[in-house]
Amino acid sequence: MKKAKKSEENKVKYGTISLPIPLVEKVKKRIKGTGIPSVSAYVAFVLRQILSSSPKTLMNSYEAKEVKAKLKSLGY
Amino acid sequence: MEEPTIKKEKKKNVVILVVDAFRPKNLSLFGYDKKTDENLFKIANEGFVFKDYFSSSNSTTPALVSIFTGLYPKNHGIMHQLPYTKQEEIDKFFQNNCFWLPEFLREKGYTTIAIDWLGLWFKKGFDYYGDGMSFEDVKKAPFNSAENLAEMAISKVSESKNPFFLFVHFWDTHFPFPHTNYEEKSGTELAIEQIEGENQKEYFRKRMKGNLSFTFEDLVGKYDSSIKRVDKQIGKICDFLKEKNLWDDTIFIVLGDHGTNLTEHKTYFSSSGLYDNSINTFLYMHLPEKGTKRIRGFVQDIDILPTILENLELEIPKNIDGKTIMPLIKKGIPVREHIFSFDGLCEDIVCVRDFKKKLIVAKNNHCYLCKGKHHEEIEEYEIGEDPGEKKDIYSGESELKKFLD
Repeated sequence: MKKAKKSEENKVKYGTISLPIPLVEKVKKRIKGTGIPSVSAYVAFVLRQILSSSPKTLMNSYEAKEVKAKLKSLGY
Repeated sequence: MEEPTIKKEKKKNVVILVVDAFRPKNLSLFGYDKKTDENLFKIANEGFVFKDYFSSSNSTTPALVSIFTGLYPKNHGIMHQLPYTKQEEIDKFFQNNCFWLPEFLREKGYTTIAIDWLGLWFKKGFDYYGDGMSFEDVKKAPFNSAENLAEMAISKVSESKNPFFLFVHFWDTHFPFPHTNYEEKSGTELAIEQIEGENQKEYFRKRMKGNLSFTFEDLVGKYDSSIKRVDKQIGKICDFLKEKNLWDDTIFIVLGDHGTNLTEHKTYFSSSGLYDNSINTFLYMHLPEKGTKRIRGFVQDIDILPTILENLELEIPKNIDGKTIMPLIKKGIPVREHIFSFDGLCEDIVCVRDFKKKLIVAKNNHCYLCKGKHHEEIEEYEIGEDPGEKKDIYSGESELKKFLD
């Protein structure tokens, strides 16, 4: 019973967004044969990519920390 | 009747090898008394060497962005060297969405390979980006050796399909020269004792990590030895391209991202400040245009991109600062009368230079690296007669001032 409650809590909740139909059709065409299951999955993937490459996220990333550490070892 | 065949033009490969903090004065090609550049000397007979090449910044981060965008730092946004780059500069760079050479070449069907560790936005447009070192390896040496980078470059090109764009960033020539063959001599005078000013002593101690048993002579020896090691690897990459019959189909460029001071201007093994040692650097180009020349006339890093595109017969973007230097190469027609450079290690210093005079304006000369200052508020030099920039002639007026407004 406890387990079921936990898995309910971990479940991702979804919201609805609207896209113009021609765009939805274009995405459907794009994902055909790629293994991406749905238009929603594709849009989520693209948005995650964009958000992870935003300047603020980039400079707080693990990679940026590595670069800063290397620069420090060069005396910067 | 035989059907006419359409001749498919073979796309040229593009190779850019960047040598960090590369100082022409320490090359025999530029009159140095030590043969540090055997391979560059050899390939100089198969291309063009530029005597008046200046980077648009004295530091790596802005200069590399200028190479890939064809824009001066104030226009692409990245004004300062990492880790001093401000968030607003990064925001501006992303908002500008500038033309980016690796991305453009990838769209044109190139395999794009970068051998470097800077990563972040520099990775944009590259199919492969890395220097083969894990973060843990950094404890042994701050960067991978030229030998390993050249080996990686050759291996990645061997695996790739033509055409390819190869970008390699050699760091060996960057302080503290961890990969040299140079053996320190037992000097009696320690480098630290020769340094003037407490700020500089402290900076140098920090950068040397307390190891002060070198003399300046030893450090220059290490720098020269590092050039020699990088030069050897440049030769190795050239030999590989020739063996694979790729040399004639490759635009091959070797350049410094910026120069460096050794001990001049009380600036120790650093490119801080905008004296010529910091911004005058090396440029070699092997192009489809045949010829061997030592070329006089100003060229800047922003001109690399349009020159590559012209040689690939691709359209040059209109909204960039760089100009193709083909008129200079083919007919000796100067492409620019002035060069501009921006200090990426200090808060706000800019300079403009022609062949006679140079003006340096420091609105805020705080140096992030050594916490000192490298210039007065305004300095002017008769650079033609005073190439060492020793006598400041600024008298309150300068005809160069209007170019910095």
